[in-house]
Amino acid sequence: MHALVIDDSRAMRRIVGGILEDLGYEITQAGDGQEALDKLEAGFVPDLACIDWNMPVMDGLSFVNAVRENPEWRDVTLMMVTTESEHGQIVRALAAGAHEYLIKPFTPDALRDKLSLLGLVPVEVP
Amino acid sequence: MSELLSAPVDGISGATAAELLPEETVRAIADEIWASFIGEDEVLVPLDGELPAATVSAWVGIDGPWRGRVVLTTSASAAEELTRALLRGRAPAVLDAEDVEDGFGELANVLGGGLKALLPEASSLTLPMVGAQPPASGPDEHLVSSLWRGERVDVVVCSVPLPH
Repeated sequence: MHALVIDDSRAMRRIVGGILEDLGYEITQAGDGQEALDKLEAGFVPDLACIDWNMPVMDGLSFVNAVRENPEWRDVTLMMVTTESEHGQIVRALAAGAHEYLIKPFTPDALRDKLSLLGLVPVEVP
Repeated sequence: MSELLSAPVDGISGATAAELLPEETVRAIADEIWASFIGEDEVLVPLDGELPAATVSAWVGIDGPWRGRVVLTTSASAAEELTRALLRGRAPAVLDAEDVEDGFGELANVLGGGLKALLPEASSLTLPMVGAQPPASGPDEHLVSSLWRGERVDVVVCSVPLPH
Protein backbone atom coordinates (compact mmCIF):
# COMPACT_ATOMS: atom_id res chain seq x y z
CA MET A 1 0.00 0.00 0.00
CA HIS A 2 1.09 3.54 -0.66
CA ALA A 3 0.69 6.55 1.63
CA LEU A 4 1.13 10.23 0.90
CA VAL A 5 2.26 12.18 3.97
CA ILE A 6 1.52 15.88 3.66
CA ASP A 7 2.99 18.20 6.29
CA ASP A 8 5.11 21.33 6.13
CA SER A 9 7.18 19.98 9.01
CA ARG A 10 9.93 17.64 7.86
CA ALA A 11 10.00 16.17 11.37
CA MET A 12 6.31 15.30 11.23
CA ARG A 13 6.71 13.77 7.79
CA ARG A 14 9.49 11.59 9.19
CA ILE A 15 7.43 10.59 12.24
CA VAL A 16 4.20 9.79 10.40
CA GLY A 17 6.06 8.26 7.46
CA GLY A 18 8.16 6.12 9.80
CA ILE A 19 5.15 4.71 11.62
CA LEU A 20 3.50 3.92 8.30
CA GLU A 21 6.69 2.32 6.94
CA ASP A 22 6.74 0.06 9.99
CA LEU A 23 3.25 -1.02 8.97
CA GLY A 24 4.44 -1.88 5.50
CA TYR A 25 3.50 1.25 3.59
CA GLU A 26 5.55 2.82 0.86
CA ILE A 27 5.78 6.53 1.59
CA THR A 28 5.70 9.61 -0.58
CA GLN A 29 6.00 13.03 1.03
CA ALA A 30 4.71 16.49 0.21
CA GLY A 31 5.39 19.76 2.04
CA ASP A 32 2.01 21.35 1.37
CA GLY A 33 -1.36 20.68 -0.21
CA GLN A 34 -0.41 22.02 -3.62
CA GLU A 35 2.67 19.83 -3.85
CA ALA A 36 0.50 16.85 -2.92
CA LEU A 37 -2.15 17.82 -5.46
CA ASP A 38 0.53 18.08 -8.13
CA LYS A 39 1.53 14.48 -7.40
CA LEU A 40 -2.06 13.29 -7.77
CA GLU A 41 -2.49 15.23 -10.99
CA ALA A 42 0.69 13.60 -12.29
CA GLY A 43 -0.96 10.21 -11.85
CA PHE A 44 0.15 9.14 -8.39
CA VAL A 45 -2.92 7.89 -6.49
CA PRO A 46 -2.11 6.67 -2.97
CA ASP A 47 -4.26 4.39 -0.84
CA LEU A 48 -3.96 6.79 2.07
CA ALA A 49 -3.16 10.48 2.51
CA CYS A 50 -2.23 11.83 5.97
CA ILE A 51 -2.81 15.56 5.88
CA ASP A 52 -1.75 18.39 8.15
CA TRP A 53 -4.19 21.30 8.30
CA ASN A 54 -2.04 24.44 8.65
CA MET A 55 0.45 24.59 5.82
CA PRO A 56 1.75 27.30 3.52
CA VAL A 57 0.65 27.52 -0.14
CA MET A 58 -2.36 25.19 0.21
CA ASP A 59 -3.77 24.07 3.55
CA GLY A 60 -5.05 20.61 4.32
CA LEU A 61 -8.75 21.43 4.15
CA SER A 62 -8.32 22.92 0.66
CA PHE A 63 -6.47 19.76 -0.36
CA VAL A 64 -9.33 17.58 0.92
CA ASN A 65 -11.84 19.70 -1.01
CA ALA A 66 -9.74 19.43 -4.17
CA VAL A 67 -9.41 15.66 -3.88
CA ARG A 68 -13.11 15.17 -3.31
CA GLU A 69 -13.95 17.23 -6.41
CA ASN A 70 -12.22 14.68 -8.63
CA PRO A 71 -14.03 11.32 -8.91
CA GLU A 72 -10.83 9.63 -10.09
CA TRP A 73 -9.46 10.08 -6.56
CA ARG A 74 -12.52 8.85 -4.67
CA ASP A 75 -10.70 5.74 -3.43
CA VAL A 76 -8.03 7.72 -1.64
CA THR A 77 -8.58 7.51 2.10
CA LEU A 78 -8.03 10.92 3.67
CA MET A 79 -6.92 11.32 7.28
CA MET A 80 -6.28 14.70 8.85
CA VAL A 81 -3.27 14.72 11.22
CA THR A 82 -3.29 18.12 12.83
CA THR A 83 -3.16 20.33 15.92
CA GLU A 84 -6.63 21.66 15.04
CA SER A 85 -8.66 20.01 17.77
CA GLU A 86 -11.77 22.16 18.06
CA HIS A 87 -15.01 20.31 17.40
CA GLY A 88 -15.98 22.75 14.65
CA GLN A 89 -12.77 22.11 12.74
CA ILE A 90 -13.19 18.35 12.99
CA VAL A 91 -16.73 18.64 11.66
CA ARG A 92 -15.52 20.85 8.78
CA ALA A 93 -12.88 18.35 7.75
CA LEU A 94 -15.18 15.35 7.94
CA ALA A 95 -17.91 17.23 6.08
CA ALA A 96 -15.38 18.08 3.35
CA GLY A 97 -14.64 14.40 2.87
CA ALA A 98 -11.92 13.39 5.31
CA HIS A 99 -12.45 9.86 6.62
CA GLU A 100 -10.59 10.16 9.90
CA TYR A 101 -9.08 12.77 12.16
CA LEU A 102 -5.99 12.41 14.36
CA ILE A 103 -5.03 15.20 16.70
CA LYS A 104 -1.40 16.08 17.42
CA PRO A 105 0.20 15.12 19.73
CA PHE A 106 -0.43 11.47 19.09
CA THR A 107 1.32 8.22 19.89
CA PRO A 108 2.25 5.60 17.27
CA ASP A 109 -0.48 3.41 18.76
CA ALA A 110 -3.07 6.11 18.20
CA LEU A 111 -2.16 6.32 14.51
CA ARG A 112 -2.23 2.54 14.18
CA ASP A 113 -5.64 2.45 15.88
CA LYS A 114 -7.05 4.97 13.40
CA LEU A 115 -5.72 2.95 10.48
CA SER A 116 -7.14 -0.19 11.98
CA LEU A 117 -10.57 1.44 12.17
CA LEU A 118 -10.22 2.25 8.48
CA GLY A 119 -9.12 -1.29 7.65
CA LEU A 120 -5.79 0.07 6.45
CA VAL A 121 -3.25 -1.85 8.52
CA PRO A 122 -1.55 -3.99 5.89
CA VAL A 123 0.62 -6.08 8.21
CA GLU A 124 0.16 -7.48 11.70
CA VAL A 125 2.41 -5.68 14.14
CA PRO A 126 3.30 -7.45 17.40
CA MET B 1 -3.43 46.86 28.94
CA SER B 2 -6.38 47.61 26.67
CA GLU B 3 -4.15 48.29 23.67
CA LEU B 4 -2.76 44.77 24.00
CA LEU B 5 -6.09 43.14 23.48
CA SER B 6 -8.18 42.91 20.38
CA ALA B 7 -11.73 44.13 19.99
CA PRO B 8 -13.82 43.26 23.05
CA VAL B 9 -15.64 39.95 22.82
CA ASP B 10 -17.80 38.52 25.56
CA GLY B 11 -15.79 36.09 27.65
CA ILE B 12 -12.42 37.27 26.40
CA SER B 13 -12.57 41.05 26.67
CA GLY B 14 -10.06 42.34 29.15
CA ALA B 15 -8.70 38.90 29.98
CA THR B 16 -4.97 38.50 30.36
CA ALA B 17 -2.98 35.63 28.93
CA ALA B 18 -2.72 34.12 32.41
CA GLU B 19 -6.47 34.34 32.91
CA LEU B 20 -7.23 32.70 29.59
CA LEU B 21 -4.50 30.09 29.80
CA PRO B 22 -3.46 29.67 33.44
CA GLU B 23 -0.27 27.96 34.51
CA GLU B 24 -1.91 24.61 35.28
CA THR B 25 -3.47 24.57 31.79
CA VAL B 26 -0.15 25.32 30.10
CA ARG B 27 1.56 22.63 32.17
CA ALA B 28 -1.15 20.07 31.41
CA ILE B 29 -0.89 20.63 27.65
CA ALA B 30 2.91 20.64 27.70
CA ASP B 31 2.96 17.44 29.78
CA GLU B 32 0.66 15.72 27.29
CA ILE B 33 2.88 16.75 24.38
CA TRP B 34 6.03 15.57 26.13
CA ALA B 35 4.48 12.20 26.98
CA SER B 36 3.13 11.64 23.46
CA PHE B 37 5.89 13.11 21.33
CA ILE B 38 9.08 13.13 23.39
CA GLY B 39 8.63 9.87 25.27
CA GLU B 40 6.37 8.18 27.78
CA ASP B 41 8.93 8.61 30.55
CA GLU B 42 9.90 12.16 29.66
CA VAL B 43 8.66 14.71 32.17
CA LEU B 44 8.73 18.44 32.56
CA VAL B 45 9.59 19.17 36.17
CA PRO B 46 7.92 22.35 37.45
CA LEU B 47 11.11 23.94 38.75
CA ASP B 48 13.15 26.96 37.74
CA GLY B 49 16.65 26.58 36.39
CA GLU B 50 19.22 28.74 34.67
CA LEU B 51 18.70 29.66 31.04
CA PRO B 52 22.02 29.90 29.22
CA ALA B 53 22.99 33.09 27.44
CA ALA B 54 22.39 31.48 24.06
CA THR B 55 18.86 30.20 23.66
CA VAL B 56 16.56 29.27 20.84
CA SER B 57 12.86 30.10 20.72
CA ALA B 58 9.98 28.81 18.63
CA TRP B 59 6.66 30.57 18.58
CA VAL B 60 3.21 30.59 17.04
CA GLY B 61 0.58 33.28 17.02
CA ILE B 62 -3.07 32.81 17.95
CA ASP B 63 -5.41 34.95 15.89
CA GLY B 64 -9.04 35.41 16.82
CA PRO B 65 -11.10 37.42 19.27
CA TRP B 66 -7.99 37.27 21.44
CA ARG B 67 -4.65 37.72 19.73
CA GLY B 68 -1.72 36.13 21.45
CA ARG B 69 1.52 34.31 21.11
CA VAL B 70 2.94 31.11 22.56
CA VAL B 71 6.74 30.98 22.80
CA LEU B 72 8.84 27.96 23.66
CA THR B 73 12.43 28.73 24.73
CA THR B 74 15.34 26.57 25.78
CA SER B 75 19.06 26.15 25.22
CA ALA B 76 20.31 25.26 21.76
CA SER B 77 21.48 21.88 23.05
CA ALA B 78 18.11 21.09 24.62
CA ALA B 79 16.33 22.10 21.41
CA GLU B 80 18.53 19.64 19.55
CA GLU B 81 17.85 16.88 22.09
CA LEU B 82 14.12 17.58 21.94
CA THR B 83 14.23 17.27 18.17
CA ARG B 84 16.14 14.01 18.43
CA ALA B 85 13.58 12.69 20.94
CA LEU B 86 10.70 13.88 18.77
CA LEU B 87 12.06 11.93 15.82
CA ARG B 88 12.54 8.86 18.05
CA GLY B 89 14.68 6.37 16.20
CA ARG B 90 14.31 8.22 12.91
CA ALA B 91 16.68 11.09 13.57
CA PRO B 92 19.73 11.29 11.30
CA ALA B 93 23.10 10.72 12.98
CA VAL B 94 23.81 14.43 12.72
CA LEU B 95 20.95 16.87 13.06
CA ASP B 96 21.57 20.01 11.06
CA ALA B 97 20.27 23.45 12.02
CA GLU B 98 17.31 23.07 9.68
CA ASP B 99 16.29 19.80 11.35
CA VAL B 100 16.36 21.42 14.79
CA GLU B 101 14.50 24.50 13.59
CA ASP B 102 11.84 22.31 12.04
CA GLY B 103 11.46 19.92 14.97
CA PHE B 104 11.52 22.57 17.68
CA GLY B 105 9.11 24.69 15.64
CA GLU B 106 6.72 21.75 15.38
CA LEU B 107 6.75 21.35 19.16
CA ALA B 108 5.74 25.01 19.51
CA ASN B 109 3.09 24.46 16.85
CA VAL B 110 1.55 21.53 18.72
CA LEU B 111 1.75 23.41 22.03
CA GLY B 112 0.08 26.46 20.51
CA GLY B 113 -2.58 24.31 18.90
CA GLY B 114 -3.36 22.60 22.19
CA LEU B 115 -3.69 25.91 24.01
CA LYS B 116 -5.70 27.52 21.21
CA ALA B 117 -8.26 24.74 21.46
CA LEU B 118 -8.96 25.75 25.07
CA LEU B 119 -9.87 29.34 24.28
CA PRO B 120 -13.56 30.17 24.56
CA GLU B 121 -13.77 31.46 20.98
CA ALA B 122 -12.63 29.87 17.71
CA SER B 123 -9.22 31.09 16.59
CA SER B 124 -6.57 30.28 14.04
CA LEU B 125 -2.90 29.49 14.45
CA THR B 126 -0.04 31.04 12.53
CA LEU B 127 2.76 28.92 11.12
CA PRO B 128 5.63 28.42 13.58
CA MET B 129 8.68 30.66 13.58
CA VAL B 130 12.07 29.87 15.11
CA GLY B 131 14.88 32.19 16.11
CA ALA B 132 17.34 33.26 18.76
CA GLN B 133 15.09 36.11 19.81
CA PRO B 134 11.29 35.93 19.83
CA PRO B 135 9.23 39.06 19.28
CA ALA B 136 8.89 41.30 22.33
CA SER B 137 6.19 40.25 24.76
CA GLY B 138 3.55 42.55 26.19
CA PRO B 139 3.11 43.42 29.86
CA ASP B 140 0.78 40.48 30.42
CA GLU B 141 3.57 38.03 29.60
CA HIS B 142 2.88 34.81 31.44
CA LEU B 143 5.94 32.63 32.03
CA VAL B 144 5.78 28.93 32.87
CA SER B 145 9.22 27.46 33.54
CA SER B 146 10.15 23.80 33.77
CA LEU B 147 13.18 21.56 33.71
CA TRP B 148 13.60 18.80 31.16
CA ARG B 149 16.64 16.55 31.59
CA GLY B 150 18.02 19.31 33.80
CA GLU B 151 17.67 22.00 31.14
CA ARG B 152 15.28 24.89 31.57
CA VAL B 153 12.33 25.01 29.17
CA ASP B 154 10.18 28.14 29.21
CA VAL B 155 6.71 28.61 27.82
CA VAL B 156 5.58 32.20 27.52
CA VAL B 157 2.00 33.12 26.67
CA CYS B 158 1.19 36.75 26.02
CA SER B 159 -1.27 39.02 24.28
CA VAL B 160 -0.24 40.66 21.04
CA PRO B 161 -1.27 44.22 20.19
CA LEU B 162 -3.45 44.81 17.17
CA PRO B 163 -1.52 46.13 14.17
CA HIS B 164 -2.02 49.85 13.61
